[in-house]
Amino acid sequence: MARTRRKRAKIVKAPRIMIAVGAAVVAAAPTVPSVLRVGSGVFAAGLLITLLVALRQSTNRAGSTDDEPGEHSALVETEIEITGVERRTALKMLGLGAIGAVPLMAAPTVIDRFIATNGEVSLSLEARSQADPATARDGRIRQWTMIIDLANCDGCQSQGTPPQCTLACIEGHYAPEPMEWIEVYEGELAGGGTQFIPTPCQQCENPPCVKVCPVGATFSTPEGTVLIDQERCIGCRICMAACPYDRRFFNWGNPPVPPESLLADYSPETQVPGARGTVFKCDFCPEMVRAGTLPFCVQACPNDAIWYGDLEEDIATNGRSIVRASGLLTANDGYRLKENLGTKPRVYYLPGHGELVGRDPYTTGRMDTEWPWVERAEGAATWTR
Amino acid sequence: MIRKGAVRGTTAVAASVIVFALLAGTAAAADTSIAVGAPDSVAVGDRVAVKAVVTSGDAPVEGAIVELTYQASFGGITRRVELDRESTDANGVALLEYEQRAADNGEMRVAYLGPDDIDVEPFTFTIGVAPGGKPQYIPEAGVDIPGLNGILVMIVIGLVWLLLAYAAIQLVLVGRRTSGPTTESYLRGEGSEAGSAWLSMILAMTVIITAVGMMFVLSRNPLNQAETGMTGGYNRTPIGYLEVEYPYLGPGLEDPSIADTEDLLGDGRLIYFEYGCSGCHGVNGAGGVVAPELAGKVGSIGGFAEDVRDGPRNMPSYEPVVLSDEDLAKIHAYLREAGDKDG
Amino acid sequence: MDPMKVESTHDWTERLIRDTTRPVLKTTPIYWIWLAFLVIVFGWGLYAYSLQLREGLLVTAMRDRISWGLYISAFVFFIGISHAGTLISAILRASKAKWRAPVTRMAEFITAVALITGAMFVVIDLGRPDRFFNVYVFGRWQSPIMWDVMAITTYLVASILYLYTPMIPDLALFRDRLKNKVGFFREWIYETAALDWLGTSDQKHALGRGITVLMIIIIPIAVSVHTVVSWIFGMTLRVGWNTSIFGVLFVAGAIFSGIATLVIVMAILRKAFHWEEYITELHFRYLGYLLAIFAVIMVYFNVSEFLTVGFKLEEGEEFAFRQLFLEDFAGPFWFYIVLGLVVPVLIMVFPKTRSIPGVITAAVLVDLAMFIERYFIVVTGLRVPLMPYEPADYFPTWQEWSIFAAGLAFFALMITIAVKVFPMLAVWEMVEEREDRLANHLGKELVANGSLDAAGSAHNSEPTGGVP
Repeated sequence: MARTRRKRAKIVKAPRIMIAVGAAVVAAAPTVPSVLRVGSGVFAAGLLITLLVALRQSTNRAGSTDDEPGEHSALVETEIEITGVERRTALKMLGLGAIGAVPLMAAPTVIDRFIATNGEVSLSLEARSQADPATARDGRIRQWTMIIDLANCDGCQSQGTPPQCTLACIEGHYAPEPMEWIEVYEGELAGGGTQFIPTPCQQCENPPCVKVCPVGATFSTPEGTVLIDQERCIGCRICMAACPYDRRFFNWGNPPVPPESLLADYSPETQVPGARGTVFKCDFCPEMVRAGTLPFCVQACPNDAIWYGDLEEDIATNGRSIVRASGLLTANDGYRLKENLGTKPRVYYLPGHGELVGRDPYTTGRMDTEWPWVERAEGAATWTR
Repeated sequence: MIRKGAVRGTTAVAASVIVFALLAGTAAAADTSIAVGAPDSVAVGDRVAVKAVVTSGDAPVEGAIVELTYQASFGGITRRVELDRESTDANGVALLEYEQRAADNGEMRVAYLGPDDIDVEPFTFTIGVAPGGKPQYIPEAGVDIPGLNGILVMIVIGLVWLLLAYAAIQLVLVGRRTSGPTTESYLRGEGSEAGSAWLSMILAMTVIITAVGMMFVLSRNPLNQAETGMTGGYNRTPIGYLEVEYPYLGPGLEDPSIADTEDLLGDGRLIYFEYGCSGCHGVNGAGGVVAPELAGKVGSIGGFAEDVRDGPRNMPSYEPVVLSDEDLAKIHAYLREAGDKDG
Repeated sequence: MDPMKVESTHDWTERLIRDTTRPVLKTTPIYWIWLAFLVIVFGWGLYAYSLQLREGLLVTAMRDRISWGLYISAFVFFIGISHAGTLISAILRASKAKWRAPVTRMAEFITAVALITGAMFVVIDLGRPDRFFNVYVFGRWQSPIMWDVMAITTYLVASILYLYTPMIPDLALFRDRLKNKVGFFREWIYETAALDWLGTSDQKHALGRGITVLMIIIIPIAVSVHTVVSWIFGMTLRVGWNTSIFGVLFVAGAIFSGIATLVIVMAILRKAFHWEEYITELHFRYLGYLLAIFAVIMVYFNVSEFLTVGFKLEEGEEFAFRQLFLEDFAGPFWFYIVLGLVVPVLIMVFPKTRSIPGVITAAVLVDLAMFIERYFIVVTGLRVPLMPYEPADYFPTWQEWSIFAAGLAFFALMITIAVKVFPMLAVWEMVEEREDRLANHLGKELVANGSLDAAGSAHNSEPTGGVP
């Protein structure tokens, strides 16, 4: 008799042991996914069994309400109830608990599979980790940078057109109206007059936007740029609130894009075709450089004011000549926007107001940008910033 | 900021192993010539010194400005990049220094820039770069305080949920009434019947499963690119229309009559835009990133039509059902004309 | 006070039970009209939301430069209101303030319902509500939004448990008293939710343990919730948001607006169901005092914040100050300062205005002012130009107003429906309180005319169970 009792006690102790072991395993290695899965599964199974046993108990005695008045505390009673359970019942519960724990343990795999196979959200963690960053010839990863020479930028006043960099960017990226991923701001000079400041995404090394994203939809790449995965973005717009440069854009409606762009295979590097309700911004055109050419804005600048370069090889080009990036910055007193914020942008500026291309700082104003394909975009809406 | 990498480089190693390979260049004018001593091979990050000697006949030239350049390819263009510029001392020697950052120097060259307006044959040579260079540009990382991490968050949230689970389990105990009523109270129902306890079970289960789920979400975090550092990656797909293999049926003119006027060129321009040609071949056929310039380069109508119908390389093919022969001819005429205008 | 003349506990309890069950048993036409009104407003909001789903957030007035608006303001506001239950119920319960008993249940209902409403507004504000579950699949704990998701999930579970646990004895009461008097559905709810409660000693112990743990744990959870809500703003580099006081400012404001909302709900239910006997002037006065205290705290925090940034006037602060104090937003802003923070204090200072209507007026003013404050935190912060461009303008479109109104209607609707199903007065706690007080009086009947008992509960006039 006594032996049976001990056996029973052993069986009913099993769930508690499972809880303890599961918790210990989780606590020991919370960063190893597989260990964590097993640990949390064991933990959950233990809890499940305990609860099922309790449930069994409560239904067992549901009919009989005339129990003795309890004198012990509830916890002591639980002990008694559970140890008094039938061995067969305990085994059954153990089995049920184990079955119940299977989905919990399998959940991560199932979720991953679901994400991988679902066309709508196709970028699972695995797919995104197939990174193959652009490298120099000896395998060092490129560190993209942009140097914008304000002394050479006249906001395309002399061309009589809207800023060509913006136009080219819009055309190349099918940027929906009214997004200007590289926007030419007109800033005031200290002594009067204005300067034009072409402003792409600053590609911060300490990016406020990446830090706040709840789902990791915007991320830093090994090349030091910041990209957005529009297939993961949930459209909460906290990155827009966090960006101190006003360089993020939201697709408020169905984006006005030409139909051919819908044929493109989506990639965060091109952001084509863009999805409604997600955030967009300048992507630094890494795919262009890999293809052996330069970003749209660099190609388009009639004054060669935009330099694109690699800090790893310390090199920069504006499409006409190549220089050492460090030399260019030092010789021309390069600076970055809002350096006091500590965002460490990858976009540098050389001071000026277009004087090298003969711009008079008192001639203000630039032409407004146009989106060439808006009328061809069916069922789309435009809005103003 | 940008020179941060320079601090990390090994310095002046290469300079000490300079092998003087004084080869006399032949002077084109005033028999001024340049001779250079440089290491054969350096590693990325090294501080490299190149010694240039400018002589006129046998006499050293003082105050000559010389420039060291290397051949770089970047962004689709190949140019000479200046590395350093110095003037020679009384011995006609200039020490040209630079930090090795390029993976390949190409052909290096020391050229004479002045002060006299004379033609001096530049001295060309090569400096090999050892493979397997280490990264030179290291972005600054944040402040890492040991222990302040996701595990701490998990512990705090886990404790809170443990207490919540405790409270929920009390409900299970309420449902598991094991004794009869003991207290006199107006709050005890007269003739109460036993209810059921499954709701408390569900509540408790919900709390526990939510807690486990939350821990799970938190624990998955390290898999996501998470810190502000440069981690993670993404799918690198080239811009999509390069990959399109099937006939292009998407766009076209909503109302074909608007491109059916007397103005052949105007019609052609419209069709060119409406069928998305400009997306790859650029505005006015000026050429784009992924497709060649067309303005004035379309050749005969026959070859042009063949290309459009077949879609060479990555270009989508435009079947006659999509693009009629007349429209094709209009595009052809327009592109021819566009070339003429430019020229 | 002659104990013999006090109404017997049995009679008083029976009356209390009758009064508590009355809303469940009797439905007036006004109730149906009110319900229909709420349903219509909610339905209209649903229609507006369907437009938003179809067209995207294009139907709102939010644009790239002011990318958050009414929805996020409403989110912050409702999460703020949800602090009513915590303060009134948990803090007062933990500090054993006896007068809280009749109002705890309402406060707890407000908490749970406001929390659900607030969380709804986050989803409404998403550009891709269909991808909401990405937050759980890809969530990264470094993001303030994720802190919110975790804190609000925790708070929601805790507050529902905290609403439900002390309600179990009252649900059992309803189960027993309303048998065969209400429809099958409600009977089923009572039977299921009462969890076989018979008031046995082990049940009481278990319930007591549950309530104790919950009332203690819910206080830090509630504080954390509004702190991390403020950190959504505080973790950015925006002028006006980039301050360390934001956390406490939000928590204080949350409790402030929570009390005000509780006063309003209390006043309406009291009037509608004739609970004047249980919810007395005393409750209004005490809540009014709390309101005044928090108004003073809010004034203090506002001075701290505006003075520390305004004194230095960093780049952009000048613009922020001008638009807030003098230009675009000056009218509502001064309404918030004067009518929302100063006037409630004045109302509670003068004995003449320290009446029920006075407190209700103060509460309405406070709720309006706090909504303005939330709105301004969101919109004025985003309006400060970051680059050389003209400041953008934002005024919500009719769709936004409709959805906001639907949120308010949803909040009222949930309370309205709850009134018809659940015991809105905490019967067992009120009975316990009365028994305690009577026992106290019997023990200290000679103490100083018995004007105020030791537990700080005034008994003199009519609070609960008057003289027959």
